[in-house]
Amino acid sequence: MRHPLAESILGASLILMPLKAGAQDVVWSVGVNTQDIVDFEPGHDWMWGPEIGFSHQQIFSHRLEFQTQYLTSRLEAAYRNILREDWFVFSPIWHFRRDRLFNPTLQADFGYNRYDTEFDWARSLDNSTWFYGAKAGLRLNFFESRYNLHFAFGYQQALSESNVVYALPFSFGISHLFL
Amino acid sequence: MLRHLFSSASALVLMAGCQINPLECDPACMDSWMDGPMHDDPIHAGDPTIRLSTRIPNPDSITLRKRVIIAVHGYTASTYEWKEFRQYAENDTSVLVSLVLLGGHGADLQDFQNSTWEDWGRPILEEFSALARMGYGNISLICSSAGCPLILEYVHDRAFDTLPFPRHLLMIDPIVVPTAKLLSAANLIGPLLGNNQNLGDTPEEQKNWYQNRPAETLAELYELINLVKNQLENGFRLTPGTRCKVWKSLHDASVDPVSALLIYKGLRLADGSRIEAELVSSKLHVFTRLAGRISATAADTILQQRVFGEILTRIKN
Repeated sequence: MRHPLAESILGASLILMPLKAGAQDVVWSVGVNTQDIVDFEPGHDWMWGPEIGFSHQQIFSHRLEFQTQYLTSRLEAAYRNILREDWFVFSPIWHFRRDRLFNPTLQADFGYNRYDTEFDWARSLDNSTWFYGAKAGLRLNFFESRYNLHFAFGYQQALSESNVVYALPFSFGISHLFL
Repeated sequence: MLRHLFSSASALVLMAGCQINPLECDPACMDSWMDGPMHDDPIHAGDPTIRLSTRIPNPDSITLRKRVIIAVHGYTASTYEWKEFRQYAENDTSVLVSLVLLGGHGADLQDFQNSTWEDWGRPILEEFSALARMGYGNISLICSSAGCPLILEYVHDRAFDTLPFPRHLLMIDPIVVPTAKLLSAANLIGPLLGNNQNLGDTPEEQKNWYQNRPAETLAELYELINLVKNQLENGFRLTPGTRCKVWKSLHDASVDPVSALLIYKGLRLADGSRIEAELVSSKLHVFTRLAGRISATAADTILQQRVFGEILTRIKN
């Protein structure tokens, strides 16, 4: 049986395996990302989790990066009554100035969101959805581009009618690149 | 470079000043909708029979022993939303239903546009306090849609602590998470988009619900539900003695059914135990109101009668 979590772990393992090979044409990155929504209202459920990226010299000279993320609210759910959400996101990211201090980016997001229904009476809730989106962002590269802080803002849309995918997400994270 | 920046900024300012959908009341709106001057909620027309406090201004001791239900409608609606329930419930002579009209609702669109969610909720507490002062001791609250976060906000702020505790808080399709997630952008794009029109299916709906939803009121609605969502996520308890149940339709174009889960997780009885919740199979928002709808099915009627019956049983026990 296919499960998004299992697929994500398998994907992460496959991505991490060639890290030690250190092929110069390939750049891998790992980082931590957070996501919330822009609504100018106080208080929210922060999603956060790991991200892994990959780019290749022969694919637009590293300007196109493929990134996967797993974001979750489970830590915050341990002490607040928020939904236990999981987000699995795949993002092709276009870097305009990959190795410069200020690197504007554009990205598309494709993903899957789910939350725990937790109680028997709530089992019939439609608790998962596929979604898509797009973000514009900025990366600040440090230490010869080995580290970057990244911020992005955009729009996302769920495919199911019932969902918890709000419209205007922003994300903030930090990554380490294996150069 | 500076010139480009200046012209972009000017364009943004102009866009913010010019709404894409400005709020206008055309002849149809003026003559046949609640938005115009021709159709107001009966409370605004001076009908004293809608609220119990004005219907029976001097209740005798037998009347004061009856069970009272204060019914609270949702965003853009009017007291019409709970009229069917009042008819059903008052067939039982031991029950009285008071219909509350939310502040800013039921009159001209301008009043609605200028109202805040704090204004919307005020008449609920006023009616509850008035009935308590008159001597009614067994008062329950029933609400639909945005009426529910208004009451939950009062519960969170302990507004009922100095009043006789509400015996029951019964919620029909309460909103904490909207189905249209773009509502979260109401503060950002609302001033630019302006008015959001949502035409009712029948003349009855057009006479009893605002057809226009000014951006300001959508922003107020989002502020309210976001506030209550955060309060629920931090957790709070009902007044001692109050019991609570949530009914939520599964396929609701206005309120996401996950709202029921958030209320269930965040709201507890005074002793810390869980409230009750039930998901029902319906495509209607506020499935207890069938009058004025063209899309109600036989199954909807059965559901409505079942839930009305259960509400009455709860109130009487």
